[in-house]
Amino acid sequence: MSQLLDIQRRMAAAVMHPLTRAETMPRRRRDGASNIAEAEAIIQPNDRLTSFERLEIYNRQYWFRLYGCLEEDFPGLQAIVGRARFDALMRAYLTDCPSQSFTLRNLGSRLESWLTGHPELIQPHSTLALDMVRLEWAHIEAFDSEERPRLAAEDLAAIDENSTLSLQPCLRLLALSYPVEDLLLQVRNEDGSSASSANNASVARKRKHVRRFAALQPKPIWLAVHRLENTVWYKPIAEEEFRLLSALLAGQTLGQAIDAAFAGGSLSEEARPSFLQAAFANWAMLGWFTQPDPLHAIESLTPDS
Amino acid sequence: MPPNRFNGFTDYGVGIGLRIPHYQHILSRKPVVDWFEIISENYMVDGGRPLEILDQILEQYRVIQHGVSMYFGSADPLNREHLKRLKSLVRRTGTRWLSDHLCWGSVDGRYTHDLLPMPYTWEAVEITAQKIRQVQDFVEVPVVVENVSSYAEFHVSEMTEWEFLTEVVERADCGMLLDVNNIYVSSKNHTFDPFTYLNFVPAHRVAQIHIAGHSKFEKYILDTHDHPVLPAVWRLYARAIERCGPTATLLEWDDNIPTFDEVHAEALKATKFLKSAASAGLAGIESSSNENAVILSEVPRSGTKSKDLHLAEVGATR
Amino acid sequence: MKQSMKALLAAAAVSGLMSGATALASVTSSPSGTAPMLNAGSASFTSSLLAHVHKHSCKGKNNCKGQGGCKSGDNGCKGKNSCKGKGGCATDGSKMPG
Repeated sequence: MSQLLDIQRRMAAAVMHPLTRAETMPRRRRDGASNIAEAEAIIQPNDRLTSFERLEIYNRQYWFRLYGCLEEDFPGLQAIVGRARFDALMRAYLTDCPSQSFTLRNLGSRLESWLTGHPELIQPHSTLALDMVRLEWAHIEAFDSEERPRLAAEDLAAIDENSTLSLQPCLRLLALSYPVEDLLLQVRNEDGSSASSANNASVARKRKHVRRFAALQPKPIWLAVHRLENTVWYKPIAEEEFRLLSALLAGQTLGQAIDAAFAGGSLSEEARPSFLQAAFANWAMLGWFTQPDPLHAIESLTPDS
Repeated sequence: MPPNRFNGFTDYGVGIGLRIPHYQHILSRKPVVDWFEIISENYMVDGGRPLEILDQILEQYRVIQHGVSMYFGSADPLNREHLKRLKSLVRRTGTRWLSDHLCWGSVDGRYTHDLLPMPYTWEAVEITAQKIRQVQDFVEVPVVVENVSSYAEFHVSEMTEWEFLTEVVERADCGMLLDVNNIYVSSKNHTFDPFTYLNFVPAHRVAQIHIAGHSKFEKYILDTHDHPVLPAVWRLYARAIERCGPTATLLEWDDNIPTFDEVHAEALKATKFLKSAASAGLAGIESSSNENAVILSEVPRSGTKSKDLHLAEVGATR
Repeated sequence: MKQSMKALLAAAAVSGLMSGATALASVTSSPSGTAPMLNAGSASFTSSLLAHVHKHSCKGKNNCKGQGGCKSGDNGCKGKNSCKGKGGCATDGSKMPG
C-alpha cells in the first residue's frame, strides 16, 4: 500500500471517530485502539501541543462542521427528539453513514432510511420523527433540483389516456401520518429569528417544541413539496391526487394513473371527472408538467430498457 | 500590466467572497465590486435559487470559482461526478481560472469535508501533481492551487511545506492561489518564518491572493475567517504584492459575517498596496527576472526516485 | 373500469390541463399575449398564481379536502460548503481576540 494512502486512512479513522460527551477526542477508540499511540505514530508534536492534541483539532473540526450541517437541515427532527437525543442521533448516523459526496448538501440523504432501522433513537415519536425527516429531506431536494421547461399549450392536443406525462424533477410527493408541515414552518421561523444562539431563551423554546410535537395527534396527510419561482412550497393534496401523481411519476400512462387514483377510493364516479379536471388544471398552473426528458425518451427506445 | 498566464493575463483588482447574507444588498444596490469569488460546490446543483442568484450576479459581475472538495492530495482517484458538475459550472460562470486547495479530505470514498494537511513526501508530490493535471485537462481552464492552514505535521515529511507546494505546482504546471493568512496561521502553528515561505514560492505562478482573518487560541491559531485581516497578515500581503506585482486579491469572510459594506471596506484596504505596487512599476519583478525565485527539484536519475534535493534556478529548469 | 368511463376521465384530465395552461398564460401575459403583466420571479407573480390555483381548485366542491392552501417552506439559500476552520476551546480554554 502507498504510504500516502496508509497515512490518510489512519488519520481519517481518527478524525471521523466520534468525540466524547465532553466533545474531546477519546483516548481509546471503540475498538480499543489507542488514539494517543496512533497520533504519536503519525503526527509530530510541537513545543505547545502533543501529537494527540494536534490530531484532536481535526477530530473536533470534523464533527462540529457536520453537526452544524445536520442542525441546519433537520431543525424539525431536533425539535421533536430534543437537543440531547438529536446529538446522539447525529453521532450515530454519521458514524454509520459517513459522507460519500463531495458536497455537504447530501449529508442527510440517507437519514430517513437509516432511522427506519434505528427506531429506538426516535421513540416514542418514531412515526412523527420519520415524517418530519421525510419532509425536511424533500425540502432540500425540491430546493435545488432541476426544473425543466413546462409543457406548452401546443403539446397538449396529442395527450390521451395512453400518454405518459413527465413531472418536474423538483416535485416531491409525501404520504405522512402526521400534519408536520405547520410545525416545521414554526420551527424554521423561530430558529431563523434566533440567529442559532444557544442562549437560555433558545433552549426554552426548543423544550417547548418537544412538548408541542408530543401533543400532535396523528392525521394522515398527503403533501406535494414543490418549487414555484424558486421558492419551496408545501401543498396539501387529496389522497387520490397523491396516488395519481405517484403513478405518473412511476411512468404509468394517464389511464393507468387514473385507475390507480380511484382504486378503492371513496370518491363517487360522478364526482371524478370534475375532480380530475380541477386537479390537472391546478397542477398545470403550477408548472408541474414538463416536456419529456430527452434522455429518458432515448432510454425508453433502447431494447434493454 | 497582466499578472501571469495562470489567470488569463487579467488584472482583476480586489474581490470578495459571494456570501448569502449579502445577496439582497448586492442585487438591490448593485455596488461596484471588482469581482466575486464563489464556492463552487454551493452552486453545483441542478436548479433553484442558488443558480438563479448566480445568474443574476453574472449579469453584473465577474465571478471566479473556488472549490473546497476536489482534494488534489487524496490518494483516492478523482470523482467523475464532481468533475462533470464542476465543468458544467465553469461553462456557466466563464471563470478565468479555477482554484482549490493543496490538501486531502477524502479516503476510500468517504469525505471529511475538511482541508486536511499533506504529508510532504515525494510520493505525495507525484500523486497530487498528476491529479491537478487531470483536472486541468478536464475542465479546460487554468487550475490554481491554494496553500491551506494546518494544525499538524507528519513524521514522514521529507521537505518543508513551501518546498512541497513549489514542487507540486512546477510538476503540474499550474498556478498558485497564495493565501497569506494561511501562511501566517501555519507559521505560528509550526514555528517558521512566514517570509521564508513567501520568498521561496515561484512568484510567477501566483494567479490570486487570499486574505482573511483568523482566531488566536492559547496554543494555536485557527483559520476561522471571522475577523478583519490582522496587521501581520497585511505585512505578508505587502511582501507578496512586492514579489508578484499587482495580483487578483480576495478577502474571505465566512463566519460572523458583517454587513456587505464592512466586508467590502476591509477588502479594499488591499487597494493601496496594489496601487503602490503599480505606481512603483512592480509587475512581478522577481517573476519576470527570476533573480531570486528558486525551486527545489529532484535530481533526475533514470529509473530511480531520488529523494536528493538541490536548488536550481527556475529559468534553468523550465 | 369501463373503457368509455376511462376515456371520459382522461378527457376530463386533458381538459383540466388545457384550462390550467390557459389560466397560467392569463396570469403571465397580457390579453394580446405579447407583454407580460407580471414579472416572473416577483412576489406579485407568485401570489397571483397561487390565488388562481386556490380559486380554481377549491371552488364549489367538497372534494378538495385538505386544500388548506399552499405554504411556503422556504428558508432561503444554503451555502454549506466552505473552507473556514471550525473549532472551540477544549484544548486551550477561552477564545482570545484576534
